[in-house]
Amino acid sequence: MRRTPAIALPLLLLTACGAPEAQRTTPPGADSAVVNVYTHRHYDTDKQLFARFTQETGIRVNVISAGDDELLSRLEAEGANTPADLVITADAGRLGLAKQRGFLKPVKSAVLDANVPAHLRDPEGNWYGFTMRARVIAYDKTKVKPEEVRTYDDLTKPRFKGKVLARSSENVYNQSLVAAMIAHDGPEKTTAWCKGVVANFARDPKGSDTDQLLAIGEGLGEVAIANSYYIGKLLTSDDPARQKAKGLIGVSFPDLSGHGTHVNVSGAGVVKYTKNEANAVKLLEFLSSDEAQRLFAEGNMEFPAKPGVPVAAVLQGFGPFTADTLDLSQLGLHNADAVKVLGAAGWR
Amino acid sequence: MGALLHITGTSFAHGERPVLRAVDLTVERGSTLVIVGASGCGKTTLLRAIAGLERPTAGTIRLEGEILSGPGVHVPPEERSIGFVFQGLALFPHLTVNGNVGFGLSHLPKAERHVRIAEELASVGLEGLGDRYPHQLSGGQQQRVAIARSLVRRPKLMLMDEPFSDLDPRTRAQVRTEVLRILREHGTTAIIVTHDREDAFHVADRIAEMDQGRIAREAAAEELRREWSHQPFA
Amino acid sequence: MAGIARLLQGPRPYIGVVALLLLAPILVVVSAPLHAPATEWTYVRTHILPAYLGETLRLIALAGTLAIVFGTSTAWLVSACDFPGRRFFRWALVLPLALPTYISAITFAALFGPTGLLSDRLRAALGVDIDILGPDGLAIVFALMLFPYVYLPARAAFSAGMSDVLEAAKLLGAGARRRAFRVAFPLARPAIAGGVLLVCMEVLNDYGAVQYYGVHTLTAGIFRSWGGLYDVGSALRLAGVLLLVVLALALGQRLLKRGGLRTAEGRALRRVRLSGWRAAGATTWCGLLVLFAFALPIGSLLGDTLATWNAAAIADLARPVVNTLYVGTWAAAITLVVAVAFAFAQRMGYGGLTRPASIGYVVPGAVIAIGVMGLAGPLAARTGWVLIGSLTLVIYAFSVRFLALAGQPLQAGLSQQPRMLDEAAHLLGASPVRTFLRVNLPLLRPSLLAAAAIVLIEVVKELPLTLILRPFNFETLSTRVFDMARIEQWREAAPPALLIVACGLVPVLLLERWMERR
Repeated sequence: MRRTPAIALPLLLLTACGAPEAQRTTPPGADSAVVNVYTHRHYDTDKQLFARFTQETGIRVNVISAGDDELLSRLEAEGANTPADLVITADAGRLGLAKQRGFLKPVKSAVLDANVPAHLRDPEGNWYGFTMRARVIAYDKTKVKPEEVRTYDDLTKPRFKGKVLARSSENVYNQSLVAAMIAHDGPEKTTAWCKGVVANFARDPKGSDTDQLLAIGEGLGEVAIANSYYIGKLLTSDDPARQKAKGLIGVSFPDLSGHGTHVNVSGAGVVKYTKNEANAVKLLEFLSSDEAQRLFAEGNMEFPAKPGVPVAAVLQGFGPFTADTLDLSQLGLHNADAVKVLGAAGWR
Repeated sequence: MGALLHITGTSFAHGERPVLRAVDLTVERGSTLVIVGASGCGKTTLLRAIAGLERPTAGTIRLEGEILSGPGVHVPPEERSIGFVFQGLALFPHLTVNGNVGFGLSHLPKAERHVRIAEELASVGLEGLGDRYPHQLSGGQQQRVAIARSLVRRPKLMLMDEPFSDLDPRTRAQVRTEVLRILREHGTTAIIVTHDREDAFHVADRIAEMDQGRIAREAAAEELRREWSHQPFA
Repeated sequence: MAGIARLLQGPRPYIGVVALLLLAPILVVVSAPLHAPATEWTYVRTHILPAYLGETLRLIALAGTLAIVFGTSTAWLVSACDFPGRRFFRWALVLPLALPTYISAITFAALFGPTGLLSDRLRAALGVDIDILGPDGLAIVFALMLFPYVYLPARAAFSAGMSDVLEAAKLLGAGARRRAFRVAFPLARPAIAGGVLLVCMEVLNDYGAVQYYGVHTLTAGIFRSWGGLYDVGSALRLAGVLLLVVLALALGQRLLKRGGLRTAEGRALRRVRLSGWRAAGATTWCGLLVLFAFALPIGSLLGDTLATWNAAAIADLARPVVNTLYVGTWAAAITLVVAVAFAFAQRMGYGGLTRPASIGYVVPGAVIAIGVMGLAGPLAARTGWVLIGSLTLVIYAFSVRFLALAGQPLQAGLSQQPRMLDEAAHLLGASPVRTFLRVNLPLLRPSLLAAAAIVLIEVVKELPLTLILRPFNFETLSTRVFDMARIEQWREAAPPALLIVACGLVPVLLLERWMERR
């Protein structure tokens, strides 16, 4: 044990160097040139955009990323002392919840009103969506004809007995799809749909969205429920493990009871106790600008909220689609019911 | 009665360090040999070699004429019919007295095993203690369990390493007498290692004195007692 | 009154305050059901609780049993037998501890999942379908990752003081198998039980792997209530049930602890040289475990790192490395100081005050974070002293969580110091404090190092606490892995994951050496 100091010393030196940086970032107070962001998004595109924003405006963006429920809990615990100015989540349900709990403050901006369509933002301006994703059906092009997967209901047909792939119901993507169905069709019809899908499962739900797509590549199933941008990423991936699925997959934008394809948004709201409101609004406006919207579309395969900004080339091939214009706050209101319906249907 | 154990030219080394140097020793059937000597003289190693726990580097060990250890021969300890009582006793703390004593009888049917255990416990004076655990017994009782555990297998030879060293003076004398009685009753040949001359004279028929891995001398207990009484501090 | 005055004498108040400080976040959580509304509790109680509890118990039973098999068998082989590679395996079998379970779980899925790289080959070669995803597969993965928690204490038990009873058994005619199963394993039971308890707690704590494998554990239920039902109250009640499960396990372990071998010194176990198919079997068995539990995941991470090699991205990891070591060192230091003080208090007979504070280890990190924020929030509102978002709070939370882990080796070390030493020091006029500082503490040095190593390993791997409580722009290696894994960019998560293993290796090997010396 004589060698202990020899090991400990470099460690201590190393960490001593780390100290100043850690301290410096701790107290981002009511400085005029910062905006403090709590975000559930971890994408490189977001990092690039924040850097661009700082370049253009001189406003530094401080970030904490974590799960959205954890971030909301933190906001709640911090109360009026919160340093956060802007909350970004990848789920409209959570944005609605944040508004309902009084964590957000309404803001008005002509730029935002112009850039973000009304159905993708809170009527009072508590939050604004800046990108959309669609919950779509990916199918094996060699076995399934496009007209066989026109609607979500198609997944419950005997044609797909033992062929449906989906991830577990612990995940918010499936929960919000089911919440949208409950909003449109009520819990009973939705339960029947869930049971129909469960009866058609190729296997117990497991893995990620991407894993469902890869499973199609292995012939473990013919249709999978997945988010649009995961398909986009798979189709542009150079990962050898993903090549087999790449050539097989087609995409359908299924219809939900005549309302179009279920979409959810990534969006942001200004925190009630913000100390840098002007900067927060500026960042929001920047996220809805052409420049940012293009990067979201190309870099991250998301659907831009702003009309007129083109979607990623690889997704264009699957044609235009009609997005469900359901008031997105409904997703939050029905999320708990969705969890119960999924549980009752035996969707693990 | 003839010789039971023959040791000739037996050597052993821990790596480079010689521990036994060409030991010669004979033990008569039914007798008790006590080995005395300072600590580190090789007493324990000699016992372990006889038991088969160590493999000698040279020499031969014979029991009833059969070679146990020798050039190219090493009968494993469990096949030697030799009992061993460790200095720390090495009772199994997770087994009862019955479990300990019956451990070496696993080849017998259950009913017979129980009879043998009961007999053995009676002969060492531990009737009714079969369900106790070792830590619930006194030092002397533990000692008798350790002896019973070996004797119940009817070994041809008993080896005991410092059997009295952990006992207080009063129990010590008692246990000494008791051990002697048990050995006599079973008619068991025994080699007992001790560093205490007092103990040696009480139980020994013959005494061997070890020094630096050799048998310095070996004689009848009476003979040595007379000699040593003239030089008590040797 | 006199009674109260006596209670406040001596070190009691100080120990009490520190213990309370460490217990407070958990008290916040446990007391939450008393006042927090649990709107969905009826649903959670009938639909989530029974099913998730059942699946949890099944998972820990299976993972625990496998960990016993893996850990005890290898510990016995390297302690009691000689076979090719034994010296290598002796320390290599500890290495899986450096890998966070969520990373291994994902790597295993990438190799042996339904669409895994190796499943693919096996299907092509043998026509068998392999799918590790699922409850049983997860139990195997957990057992592979966590068996060193059994291996280390079992190995220590086999080497200390067991040689005499094993030789006695041999002389009584017991063959190798009987010596192992009737004598050695039962005697090592307390050590094995302690290790299995750690395994179970790690399994209970995990969230990332269970979610990915689609397994419903109580921790998954907590998140389903919290994130899916929007009901923090019910989530905290489930956390309470989880605590009860752990308490039951800990009680069971205490029962199993009885009847262990308590001989201090003994000669080293005489190893039997294996030959022929036995030697080959031993080498293969240990080799397979090291291969699956360490080499394969590491190889896969290395492969992904090279395939996505990007010098700028790697250089970008320098800051997270420094941050990781920074919080790790501070957390280890502070936890160690408290653990030493508590070990001292326990030796002085104040164990009743300190023991409850060790419960933090069994509470999922995210739940501790809620408790910590539940304390810091009102504190800031009343005093203006804002702690959330400071590293101080992160390090405090780590101490709450890992105190018990640091305490284990310290108590083991102290229990080996005979009371005689303390008494001798007192008779020579030394005060209790001086005795502890001058006698007990220096003798405890190896245990101190082991305790620091354990905390460091765990902090480097830990995710949820850091994620929720961290300051702005503060990234550690595990938050980097999380960022990438969250968006299903597994390959890009490989470089930070490898660095986590690298940071964990030094303390893991230190820990191995400490166990060696015991």
